[in-house]
Amino acid sequence: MLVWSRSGRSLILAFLAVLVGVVYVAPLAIILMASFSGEWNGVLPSKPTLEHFFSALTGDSGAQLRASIITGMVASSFALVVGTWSALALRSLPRVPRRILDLAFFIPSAVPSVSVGLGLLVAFSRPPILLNGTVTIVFIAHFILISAFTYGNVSAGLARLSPDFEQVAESLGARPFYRLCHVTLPMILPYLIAAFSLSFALSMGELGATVMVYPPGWATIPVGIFTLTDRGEVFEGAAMSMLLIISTLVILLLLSRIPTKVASR
Amino acid sequence: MSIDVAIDGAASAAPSIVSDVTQSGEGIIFEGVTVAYRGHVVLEDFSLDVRIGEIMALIGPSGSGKTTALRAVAGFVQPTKGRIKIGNQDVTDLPPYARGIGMVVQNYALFPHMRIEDNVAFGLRARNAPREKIEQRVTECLRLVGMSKYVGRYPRELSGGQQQRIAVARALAVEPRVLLLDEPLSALDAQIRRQMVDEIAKLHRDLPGLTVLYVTHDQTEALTLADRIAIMHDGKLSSLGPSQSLYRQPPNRFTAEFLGRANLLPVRVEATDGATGLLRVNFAGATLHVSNDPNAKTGTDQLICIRPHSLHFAEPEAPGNRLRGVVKDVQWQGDHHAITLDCGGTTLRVVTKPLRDRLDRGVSLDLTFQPDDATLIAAST
Amino acid sequence: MADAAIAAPRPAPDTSWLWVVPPLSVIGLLFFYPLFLIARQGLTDGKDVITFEHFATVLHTRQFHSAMWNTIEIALMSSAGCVALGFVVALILSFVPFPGSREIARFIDTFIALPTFLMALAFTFIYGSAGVLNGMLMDLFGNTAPPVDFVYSTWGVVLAEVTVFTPFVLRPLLAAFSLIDTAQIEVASSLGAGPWRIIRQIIFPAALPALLAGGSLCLLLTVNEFGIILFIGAKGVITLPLLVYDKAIQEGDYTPACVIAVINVVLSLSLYSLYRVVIARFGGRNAGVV
Repeated sequence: MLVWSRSGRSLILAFLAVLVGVVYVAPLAIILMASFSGEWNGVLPSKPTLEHFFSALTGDSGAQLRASIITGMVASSFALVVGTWSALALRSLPRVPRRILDLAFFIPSAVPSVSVGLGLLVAFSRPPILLNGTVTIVFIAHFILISAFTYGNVSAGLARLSPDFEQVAESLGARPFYRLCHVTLPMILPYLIAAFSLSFALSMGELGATVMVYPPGWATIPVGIFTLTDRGEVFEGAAMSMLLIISTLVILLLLSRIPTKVASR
Repeated sequence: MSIDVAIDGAASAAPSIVSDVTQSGEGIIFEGVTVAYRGHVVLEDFSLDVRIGEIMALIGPSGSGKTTALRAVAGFVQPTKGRIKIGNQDVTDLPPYARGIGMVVQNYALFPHMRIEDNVAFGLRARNAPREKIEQRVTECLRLVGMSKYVGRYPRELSGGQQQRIAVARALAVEPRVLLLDEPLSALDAQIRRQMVDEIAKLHRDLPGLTVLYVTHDQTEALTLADRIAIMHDGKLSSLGPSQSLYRQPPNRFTAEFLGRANLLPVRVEATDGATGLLRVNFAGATLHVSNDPNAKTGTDQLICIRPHSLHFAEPEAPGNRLRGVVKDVQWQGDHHAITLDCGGTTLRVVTKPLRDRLDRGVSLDLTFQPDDATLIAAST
Repeated sequence: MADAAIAAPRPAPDTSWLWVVPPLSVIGLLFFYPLFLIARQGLTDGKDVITFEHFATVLHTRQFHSAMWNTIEIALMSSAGCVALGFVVALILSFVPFPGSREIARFIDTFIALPTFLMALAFTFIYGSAGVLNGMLMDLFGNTAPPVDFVYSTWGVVLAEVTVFTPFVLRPLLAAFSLIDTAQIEVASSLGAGPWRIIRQIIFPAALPALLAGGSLCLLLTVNEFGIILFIGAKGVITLPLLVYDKAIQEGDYTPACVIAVINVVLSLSLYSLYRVVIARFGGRNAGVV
């Protein structure tokens, strides 16, 4: 409605198409093409092949795929539990402590991931808690980095839940725990799923803290992609990138299919 | 004092299906309840006695404290001072789930992730009632509100009126001692609302022992449904009484103006007429006779309240009260005409059957009213 | 009246706040405690006495200066780019309606879920010395050396970051624009205002909170960004997070790493406070999920 002439509109839309195409579509397309290419000497790749995908799914890379997914699941589950618990607990606090703690729960996402990794190294490299070189430290690093997002998502969902539902439930005789299980949690289920999905996606792509703390044998996909491209095996790196994108999207899709029976407003 | 509910004859003649599950309710007592938030007083020294089995309507403008009073009974608002009792039990410090209440809110708040039957069964399940009892109560309460067909549906498949009926069934399923209705019809269309008012009235007849506290800003609902009305203003109880008494003889100015429209004429009290027993007052030079009020002091300035439909066109030469006014505005509103007149500086509003002949502005008219239809009100309330 | 009160149960003290202790302890142990230890290692000598000598040592190195300067420069440039690109795209998507505008918005939005380093990888494929663009130009013009090499400089990083972080500006802008009453724009047009005037006087003021919120969020995210810098791997382009990594993992020198990490964290937290203040003052939430 800003531009009234047809030629003006066509011009602007063409401009947008070029902009979005160059900035967003081209990179994705390039990685897609590179993952299938056997050789890339000229402008475009040549000799399409699936061998990069095969090597990406087996051996070291296959192990990294497994490690990423397991880490994602563990860290996201833990983050969902802690994030939901915090969001619920904060509701019953008076204003000032609530705002301070709200800030405290968000800060882990404001801090650079490398520093989080460094902190874990420094803190847990000696007794009594020795986690350096274990898989647990990777789980913890991912958990810390994504906890703020689960907390934020669940908080937003709780804020949008009309207090009527919980109050009516209470008036009908539901004690707090019964109300939590049968009314509150089912009604914020869409937000819980969204929080888990976002956390999982972030964990799959996490690099900064992982690269500081990962033990040999538990490299994740991002670490693997870096090692490959650093070595010059860019096509296999591209194939792993595609696997990363695809596996993330697939799991997100599956999560979005969970029936929630709560009509989204 | 037994409840004297004015149901028109036709309805009471038809046999009503009284629920075979007896509801033995209890009364509600507010004792000097004060509620304040951060220095702002929302309810002040509020005392009220809601009797067993009556429908008490709490009405008032926004901010009058009526919703706060209801939520204090439910337990979602803590009184800063005062106690609340249900029956003989002081519930002020009890959590909501231990008070034995049933609540219906404006937006129904049916649990969207549960079917209708699970919604209605919710309270009983939460209290660990045995399975047979739950099934029996659910069936019974759905039948009571006429929604038995919808047992397996989800709330989103129902209309607003239907959802509200389920909300009522859900509240009744737990056999509450008192039923709290917080503007239950405000979210419904006008037509559905009228229907629901009838249904609530029928429900009250079917469950004679159930005490109901009904908060609304709609006077028609209050006048139709309530046995007694409590009018609230600025956090305080302004007047209390049976609906008809409050309407016909409002005790104060706020009640007169809030409950229905009122014409308020400033008058000076003269004397009681020995012959007729009526009170003589002087309005802008004219002498009027109104119903006697023992509290009226001679020589004081008061107001008399006359409802718009109590003013009629006066026949020429007819005896009785006579007011002369100049027509300022005439509005036809379908089933009545609303005429605004200026009478000695006071604006009067008259509601009549639709006029056949045109009435022009500037015309002088004589109005009359029955002495019984005028109530004396203290000028300063 | 008073005797009725005897029957009332005493109200139980409100202990619901205790529920916040477990999650708080978890975050405390796993995040705040390590952070405290980093600060301790950077600010004390071996005997727990506060000293600034570690800071002095690090702050005097050229490495640190260059990293600090790069971090700030890249952050400012990227955020400005995000704001500009986001504004233009949001403007077109919201006010030059065409079928598919919602899909394009959602497509761009999905980039929030993707790791940032993928963009750097794609950039090397497209703009790198062996990439598509150089291949095309060399074919066309017959150069011997690849003419385009901005990827391995600050510019490459900035462009990659603009691509990746613009969705964080786009999202709140689209939300803000959807709230603008189109009737306002139609009336303005009927009164004779041309598109530039409408943008300046109606759209831009409505966009300002989202721009500020999104912009300050981008500042934060770019200061923290690690993956893109690592993947581009250009020699002259080192930022604070990469320096921390180099010091700790490559060189095994933990104390300077802690010092730089402390500075990095302080910078980030300041930017985060700025972001929260902007949101509180101007609205424009919905910039991210932070």
